[in-house]
Amino acid sequence: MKLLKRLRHGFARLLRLAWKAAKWLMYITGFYALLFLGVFAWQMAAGALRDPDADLVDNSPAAKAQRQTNNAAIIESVRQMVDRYRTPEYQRDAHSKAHGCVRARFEVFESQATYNHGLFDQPGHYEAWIRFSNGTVPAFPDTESDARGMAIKVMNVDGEQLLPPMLAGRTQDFLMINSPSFFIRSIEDYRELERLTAQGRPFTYFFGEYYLNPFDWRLRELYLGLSTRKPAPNTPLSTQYYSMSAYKLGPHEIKYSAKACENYAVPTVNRDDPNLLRNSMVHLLRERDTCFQFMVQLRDADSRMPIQDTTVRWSEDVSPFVPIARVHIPKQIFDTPQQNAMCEAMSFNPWHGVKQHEPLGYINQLRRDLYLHTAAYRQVRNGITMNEPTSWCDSLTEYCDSESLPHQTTEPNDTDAR
Amino acid sequence: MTAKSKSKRRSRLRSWRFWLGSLVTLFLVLCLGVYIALWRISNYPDIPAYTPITHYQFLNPSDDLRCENPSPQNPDPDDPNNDLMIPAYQGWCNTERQHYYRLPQGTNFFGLQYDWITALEKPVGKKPLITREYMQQLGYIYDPSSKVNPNNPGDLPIGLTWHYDRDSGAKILDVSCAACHSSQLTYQGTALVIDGGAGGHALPSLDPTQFMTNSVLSLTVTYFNPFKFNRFARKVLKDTPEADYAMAKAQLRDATWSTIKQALVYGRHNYFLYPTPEGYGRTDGLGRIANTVFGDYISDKNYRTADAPVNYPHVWDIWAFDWVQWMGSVRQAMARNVNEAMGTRAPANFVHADGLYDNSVMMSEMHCIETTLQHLEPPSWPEDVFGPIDNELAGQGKQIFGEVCAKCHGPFNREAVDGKIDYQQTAANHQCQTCHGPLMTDADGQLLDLINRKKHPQVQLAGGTWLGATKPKYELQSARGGYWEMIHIPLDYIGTDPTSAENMINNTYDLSSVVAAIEQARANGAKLRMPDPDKIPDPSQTAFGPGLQFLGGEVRYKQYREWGLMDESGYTAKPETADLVADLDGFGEHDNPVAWRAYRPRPLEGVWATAPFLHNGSVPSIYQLLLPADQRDSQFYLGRKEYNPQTLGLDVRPFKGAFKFDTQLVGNSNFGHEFNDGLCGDGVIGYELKDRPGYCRQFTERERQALLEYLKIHSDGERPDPSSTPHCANISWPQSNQNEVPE
Repeated sequence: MKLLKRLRHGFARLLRLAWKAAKWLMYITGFYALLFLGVFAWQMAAGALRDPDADLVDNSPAAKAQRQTNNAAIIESVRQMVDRYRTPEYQRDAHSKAHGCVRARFEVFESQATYNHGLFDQPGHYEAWIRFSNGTVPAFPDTESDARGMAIKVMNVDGEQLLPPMLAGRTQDFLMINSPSFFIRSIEDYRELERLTAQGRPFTYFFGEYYLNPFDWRLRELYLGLSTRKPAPNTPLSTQYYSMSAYKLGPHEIKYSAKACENYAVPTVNRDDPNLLRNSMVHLLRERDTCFQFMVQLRDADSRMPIQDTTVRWSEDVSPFVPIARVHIPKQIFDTPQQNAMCEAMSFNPWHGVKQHEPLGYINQLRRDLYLHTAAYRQVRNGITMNEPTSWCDSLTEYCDSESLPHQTTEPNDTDAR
Repeated sequence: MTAKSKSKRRSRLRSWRFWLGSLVTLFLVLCLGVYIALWRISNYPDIPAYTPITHYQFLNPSDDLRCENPSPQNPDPDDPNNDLMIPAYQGWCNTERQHYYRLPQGTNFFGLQYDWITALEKPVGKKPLITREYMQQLGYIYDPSSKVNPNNPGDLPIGLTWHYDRDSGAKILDVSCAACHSSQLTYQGTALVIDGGAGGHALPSLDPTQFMTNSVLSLTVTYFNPFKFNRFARKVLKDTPEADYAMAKAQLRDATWSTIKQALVYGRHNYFLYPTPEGYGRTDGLGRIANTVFGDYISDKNYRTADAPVNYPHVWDIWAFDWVQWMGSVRQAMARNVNEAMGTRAPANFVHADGLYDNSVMMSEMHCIETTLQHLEPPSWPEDVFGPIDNELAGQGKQIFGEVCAKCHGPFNREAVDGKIDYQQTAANHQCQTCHGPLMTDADGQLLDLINRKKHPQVQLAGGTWLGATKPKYELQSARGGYWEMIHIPLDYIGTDPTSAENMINNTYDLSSVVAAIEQARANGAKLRMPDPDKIPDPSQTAFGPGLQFLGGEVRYKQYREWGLMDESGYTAKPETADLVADLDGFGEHDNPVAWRAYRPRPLEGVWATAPFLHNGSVPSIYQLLLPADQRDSQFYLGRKEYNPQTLGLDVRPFKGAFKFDTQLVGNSNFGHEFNDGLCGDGVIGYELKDRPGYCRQFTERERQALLEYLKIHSDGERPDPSSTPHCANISWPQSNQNEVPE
């Protein structure tokens, strides 16, 4: 009896202790939840209110040197990352999962004199390649939320190239994702993120080493990073893509964007297919021609339109996107082994381009060296030699025979006016 | 609590016994703590474990017996087996070796005296502080040929010697060139002494177990402990007659206290200046020179963080270079030496008009060392210790070396390229902002051949007999140095740690107090010049190079004037002494510092003996240097020099008391100079693809092994014969405290 009593007593005490511990745990959890909300609100407010470029622009020699050091470290980390995620071919360090490379015509039409610089100087038609992709590495299936990329390589462009002649072709690349802002503000942050990604623990970047120190949290970046991840569109041809960073257009500073002419849909495609974007595009382009409007947004220096801070979206109320070209994607069959291999060998770089479209900002400066290095690394490791193409025919011999080219006779529906 | 106990407490607080007791207890506890700390430092220093050495060996014995044996075992001249004569090693006989090991350069560490060092005891106990075992553990090297000799009465390591202070006549401890520029590799109990190699100690460290700090600590304890001080004074003043003893002891006490105070001031100023631990075998040379000369000697405002430690470089070919220092920033031997001596704490006066530029730098001794080094040969691979050479493999390595390494490491014959390099263009290339990136291009977008080496002639590797019959005719420098044209590889291309270069380029110093002192001295009638406004437009923001050039130059010219070598202007040599001055300066070059964002590749003969590698010592072996950077050790352990002949590097596994080298710290980056795939540049130097210029690939394992094999026997070609004896005739050491005119 006594023993039973004592046991019951002990059990009750244990229960009380457990309850106490649980209570404390709840307090701590609640505290951190509040802290999380507070830090998030604080950082979002700071992001919205601060002068975005003020703390980023520094052209002192020491800062320049520091950026170059950071660039070198980022390149080194990205090489490690490419090693880490090889499959067994060496892949891109970002946007490694391609939905396909399609042939397109880049049609510059007549526009106001303001926009007549570089590629847009004269109306004209150019052959182009477009590569559609998923952003995350290692590759997610298309069913997951992700950033979707669109890279246009316009070929046979006249004008003085940005890169040294050894590396330059006669191309103008436009690199975009389906989100208007990037989530990294500075080169230092980028370096840290790449270092941790190369070690396979990118989330440490957003929460600090042990996740508990609120001073190490970067919740605004996390929010922006997560908001670049969106569910898959109907097809890669049915959404809008943005350049995120700023470029020159002759004397102006711009951001550019490509918007699908209409929300193309392919009802027959299985939405649970991990390659649904590729397959839907295959179906769509088997059936019909499609198009994108290519638009630019001029920078108004008096408004909140920063060059360096790519996390800030330029207001479309102040300066709307204005269409100045059309990307016409003809009906075609693109999903062939040769074309996919060519697609993987190609490299896209915002610095493949003419002087009038020079990329602006420190992050774009980094992209120049970073993309050149990773592309060369990937190509040398995979044993490929690939120069900048000058035409469809230069890329793939099957398009050399003009007979086989599906010359479009019917213009697609003119949907320029929205 | 009852009222009774409360009042008892109150009354206790009023009691003096309580307060005294507490104070005494506190004091005793503190004393005990200090005693335990000192006891620990005395007995269990956290320093690298001692590897017993059973056998010493010098390298490169000459074919003939041309040197006198300093310590013959069998001195009988009639015995055909006597050992009165021995071969030279690395081209040096004992005389040259003694000059290098023991000639002072005028450095003065807080007034520490030579005799004190040998007389000091451990902070706790009566055992002597400086023992062979302790110093060898710390990476100092002992002269294997003799234990004690007239040049080394205290049995101290190589490079530790003394000079007499010019004012007080005190016998000051002097740390000379050989202390840091000699190395010793151990391998399974055998120690190879490598004269002119890269040193392995941590002399500037403020760690209490290190030599210099421990000496000051022990001196402090000695000062405060009368028993210890008595024993100390007996040893130091052993030659003083008993009548003068009391006075001498009082003077010794004053001198000791002054040293302690100076050391404390130094510690206060310097403790936080070196955030990246230097560890064994490294020091931030330029940073420490700047902090000593501009900071300690001129103004407290001039202390700058020095976070770019660099290796002690090897010096067997240094005299043949036209540009010296890791960045290739100095073009004159004596300018470099004077600044180095001041940086190693040879005191100089830059702020008082009275006796402006007074200094203790010993230039005739330095000149002797400099000319002695011309006779030093690089070490050759000891096959009896490290195993034989695979000649076939080495042959393949030689071919790769010619294709990949020689385009930067040369050496480039000075005679052939002199006057053909456009320095203006070189400078422009390194300042270039737009040409940074994977490919260095010029304004026309053409691939830049690093430093317009289009103009360099093809360089013959080995067997290049460019000296032979026709000796080049450039005044004196060709008769004694400056045979090789050093090139500068831009930082953006080589990609190694930029901190050292950046610190030198970006830091500025306030020299206005020097200018004020010069103006004052000129008002008093001294014929001293002002800083050149072209190089130092604003003395309150003087760059490192021009500032040091000016100060070092003034010190140099002052000495030359005192030797009577200069004409009335005080800054140009008399016609009859012009040759001597050019010879003293070395290279016969003008002292023009540059600060380009670049590092200087050096010729590689004997490089197998100089681990760890890169200017900051961040790569432990040549094998790793030939790998992609991400495959190199990111952390490794230094503090002993156990050699690994397979990788041509050090054994860097962890061991007790090791210094952990962390490549993540500022100044310690092990990136760059890597052999990787992709575009050349931005740190990738690789093997350039023949069908794709500008693209590189990494080495295959076979190629790496071949290069390693070849580097063991690599030769930079026939070494120029200095055809002169070392200029050591008039050195006064160690008898007097006067600095004599060299021959």
